[in-house]
Amino acid sequence: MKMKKIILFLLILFTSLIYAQDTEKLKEARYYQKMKKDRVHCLLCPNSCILSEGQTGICGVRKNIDGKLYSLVYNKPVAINIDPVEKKPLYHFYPGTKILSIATVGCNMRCNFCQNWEISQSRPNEVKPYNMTPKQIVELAKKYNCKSIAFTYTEPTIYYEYMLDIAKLAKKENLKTVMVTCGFINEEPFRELAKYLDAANIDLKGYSEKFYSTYTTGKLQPVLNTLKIAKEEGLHLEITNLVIPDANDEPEMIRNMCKWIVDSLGTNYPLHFSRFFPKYKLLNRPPTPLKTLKRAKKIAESEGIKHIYIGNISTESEDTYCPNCNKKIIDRSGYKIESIHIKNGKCKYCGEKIYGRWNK
Amino acid sequence: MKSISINKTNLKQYLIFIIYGIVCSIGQTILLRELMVEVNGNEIIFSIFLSLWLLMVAFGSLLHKWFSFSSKIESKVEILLSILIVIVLIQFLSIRILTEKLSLISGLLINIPNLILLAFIILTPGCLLIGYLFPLNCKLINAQDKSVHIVYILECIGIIIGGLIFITTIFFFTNFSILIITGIISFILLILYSKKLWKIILLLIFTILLIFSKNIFMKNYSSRYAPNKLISSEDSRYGRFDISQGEEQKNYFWNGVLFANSSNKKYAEEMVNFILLQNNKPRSILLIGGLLNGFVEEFLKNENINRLDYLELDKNIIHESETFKKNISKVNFISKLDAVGYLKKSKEKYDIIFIDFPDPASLSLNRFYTLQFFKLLKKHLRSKNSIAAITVSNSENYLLPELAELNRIIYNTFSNIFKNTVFIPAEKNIFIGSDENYISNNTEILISRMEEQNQNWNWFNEALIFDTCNELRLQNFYRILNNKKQNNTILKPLAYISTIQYWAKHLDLDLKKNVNFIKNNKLLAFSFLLISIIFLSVLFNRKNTYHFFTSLTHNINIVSISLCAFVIQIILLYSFQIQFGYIYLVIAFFTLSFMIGLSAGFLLEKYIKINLSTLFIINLISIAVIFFLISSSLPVVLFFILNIFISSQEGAILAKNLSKKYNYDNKDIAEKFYFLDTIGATVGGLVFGVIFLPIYGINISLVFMMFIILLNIVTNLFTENILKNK
Repeated sequence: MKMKKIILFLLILFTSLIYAQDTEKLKEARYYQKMKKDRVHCLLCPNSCILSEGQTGICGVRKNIDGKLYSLVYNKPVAINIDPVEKKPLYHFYPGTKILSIATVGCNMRCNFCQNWEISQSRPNEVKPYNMTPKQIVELAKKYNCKSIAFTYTEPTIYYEYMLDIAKLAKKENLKTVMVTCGFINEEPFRELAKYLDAANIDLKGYSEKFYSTYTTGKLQPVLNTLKIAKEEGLHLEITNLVIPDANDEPEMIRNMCKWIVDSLGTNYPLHFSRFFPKYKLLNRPPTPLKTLKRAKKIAESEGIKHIYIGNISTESEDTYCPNCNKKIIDRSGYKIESIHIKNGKCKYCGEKIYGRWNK
Repeated sequence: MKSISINKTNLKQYLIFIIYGIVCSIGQTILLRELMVEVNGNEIIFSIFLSLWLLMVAFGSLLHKWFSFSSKIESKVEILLSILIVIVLIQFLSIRILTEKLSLISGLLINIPNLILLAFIILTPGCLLIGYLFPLNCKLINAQDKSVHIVYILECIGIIIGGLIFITTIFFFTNFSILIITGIISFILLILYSKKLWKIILLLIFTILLIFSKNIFMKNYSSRYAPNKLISSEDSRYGRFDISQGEEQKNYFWNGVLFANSSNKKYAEEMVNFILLQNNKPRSILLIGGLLNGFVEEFLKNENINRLDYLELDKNIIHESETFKKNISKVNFISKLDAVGYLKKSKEKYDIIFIDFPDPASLSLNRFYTLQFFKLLKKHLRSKNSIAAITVSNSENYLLPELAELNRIIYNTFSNIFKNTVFIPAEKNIFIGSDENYISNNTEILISRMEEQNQNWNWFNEALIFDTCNELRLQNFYRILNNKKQNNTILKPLAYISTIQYWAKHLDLDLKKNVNFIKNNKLLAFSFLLISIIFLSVLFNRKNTYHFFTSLTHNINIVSISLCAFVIQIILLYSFQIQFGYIYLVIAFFTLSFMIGLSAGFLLEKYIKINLSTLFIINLISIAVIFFLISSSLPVVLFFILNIFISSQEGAILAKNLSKKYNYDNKDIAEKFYFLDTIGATVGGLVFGVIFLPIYGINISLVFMMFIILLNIVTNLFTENILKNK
């Protein structure tokens, strides 16, 4: 009988040791509140998940273990690529440079048109991640001569701790950092992060709460707040709007969106109208016609936005023109920069200051 | 057993069963077809729909047990049959409306529970009525042993006529018009049966409907593509080709799936030019796929090319292309044969063969990714320097395990054929094979070749090449591709299984784990099937009867033979699809040949003086013959002969069971018999169509069936022995 008890005790000890080792490997999350009965309240994004012991948030990567919130994806990126910075899209941020792009699994939205659904809608146990510390990521960026590091593909908010640590290290190493985000993040964590970031491309998916609730499970208002904060924090900011036929392509909606941008952020921030391609669950919605994108661009122009681009399709609308003299100052061909006529951040022809971060 | 002879007084009455058969066959073909287009169904979905159809029909026949008529059956059958004709039309029009409600957003994939709910709501009213009418028809003749035989035979004749109507009208009318024509024919026949005013009124209404049928169809169907305008919808023997237009952009759909659009130049530039960099002076090209995405125009920008053969079965697609409209002399369209047929017969050699097909989401598409097919490709390459290239879905930033496996299987199969293989992780992964080492995915080499060509592209440039083939991206892919070595073959369609798993992932279903479990537990899976057959047979066996075991044996016989005959029909259909590449039109021929065999079996049964166990032994031998024949290429006619042969055995076995069983169990036999027959086919459709065939392949499925038949031989020998001893 005694022997049995000893074995049982050893078994429990062994199991708890393994368990303890497991949680040790995990990174405790930031921005959460402990509640009664081992519950936690995640304060990172507007989903505001309240999680009981063992539960994971909507994002799928933040878990309540023993009354503490842990990130399941710290050090565990699943996608690491070298992209042209134009692909983010960032057209006014060191054009022609390479950017190391990383992502972990998970997302705090469920967009049925997600262009990266393979990662964003997966869970940590469904994928085979790399094991890379922030230091290794920074070293990799340097090895491949990347000017910057992008937190992209999925929603980086969900791997906040990993992103923050990489951004801090990158700053020390003189590397730029970029967050490509849906903007669905709470104010406090975003303000803290912004201090270490250089740029953000915020995806303004549509300009109505109805669109957000039908297609994304998110909300519009928090995204608008994030855009305002990005401006206040002095981040280099570009905005992307994926134009989906019969979803967010109504001229009225686009006009209202542009009006808001002009009123709240000003006319300087580049706006990218991206072509939608059928992906994930929205497989039988045809790609956005060029005419729709051109119409959106015209509306934005009429509202006074200075830099408007059409992306994901080959057109003359990928070039940059000086808002003052109207001359072509960046000639692009897909991701390739053919020529740049900007010197010290000013138009080479008329001296107009061009919004952006430019190579010296 | 009583006589099944047909006298003149019965003849008119029998007309009603023929009408019943016509409505059933055309209704089934068209409704299932429309449902498939509506939900972008694959073979798995088709098996689910078909099984659901059979299940509802089976339950319909049981309804007769609780809701029965004892007087004026004739007029009630007539009324119910007329209601069925009208219901089928309503079912057809409801498909679109209901899908819109269930998918919530147009263009959105419908999830599995909603998909089953959709099929359930659409199919239930008609199927229950079809099932209910069968025993009622039997009652109408008022001699049950006779009636079930005759009703079966006449229903078969009706189905044969229905099949013929479908085959002859499909090229000229929309599916909705065919349903109305069926209604008109049925009402004329019903009027011949007995003249009544309401039938004449219905006939007139249907005739008026026929005039507006195309408009009604287009109005109903076009909402699928709203807010874009549906500008054409053409059915050919291969499938349905729809074109929608919005803001000057044309979008092309094949069987409801978007596959191309008129402003896809970026895609064409990327895919074609990565191929062209792999051969320095290509003169002749064989291109399969990508016509409406602008691939032909992109290839022809290269001045070295003096001949481009384009293979496309559906002439509607060819006629829509800009190249065809411009009548370019360099381009030669081939539409008489599919890729396999053409490569087998043709002696042409090419510098580049490029195939851009959809992923192997069906067994017929799987053919184009097999070892056998790649060998064929290689035979048509002009020299060692010539290249063959194929495409597989890619996800730019991360490949899900399911998609990674699909790519790995196809890449390994492809690289077994060529001395050198490279891949380009472009918008779709391009696998390129050649016997010389000129092919490359090295960015520096590709950029220098691109510069040599000195052409002006809009999108294709060094930045794109670097983005696509940079070291880090290639490393990620090598990690995935050079893993397990598995080959995709016709009889082991691994790529097909991975594609289905990847498709399921879109619907948030993780099939991979379940598939692996089933794959590794064949015995368990087969035992489960056997238990299901026995359970169903016991469930509908009469308790406490003198002939409990013999009656149970007959139940097992009915369920088993219905299951096996149905599954063999599916296997023959799959094999036909694998060999010839299409089944859209031949489904009707298969149903036709199946019904011919079934009726022949029923008719011949009384002349065949052999017992059930011998009939099952013949069936076992027949399945063994199919087992040996199925992997070789068979002539078209042999598929139908085999189908007739197997279904005639089913007919004879069913008839024999029916006549024997009647001696023991003379109450409610029609509905029970019909239920067991239909439920057997349902189990077959579900278990084999959805699970066994995709996972185990054709051969193992046939072995399973041989064991089922063996079980029947044993049980029959056992009961025959009991009867002898008694």
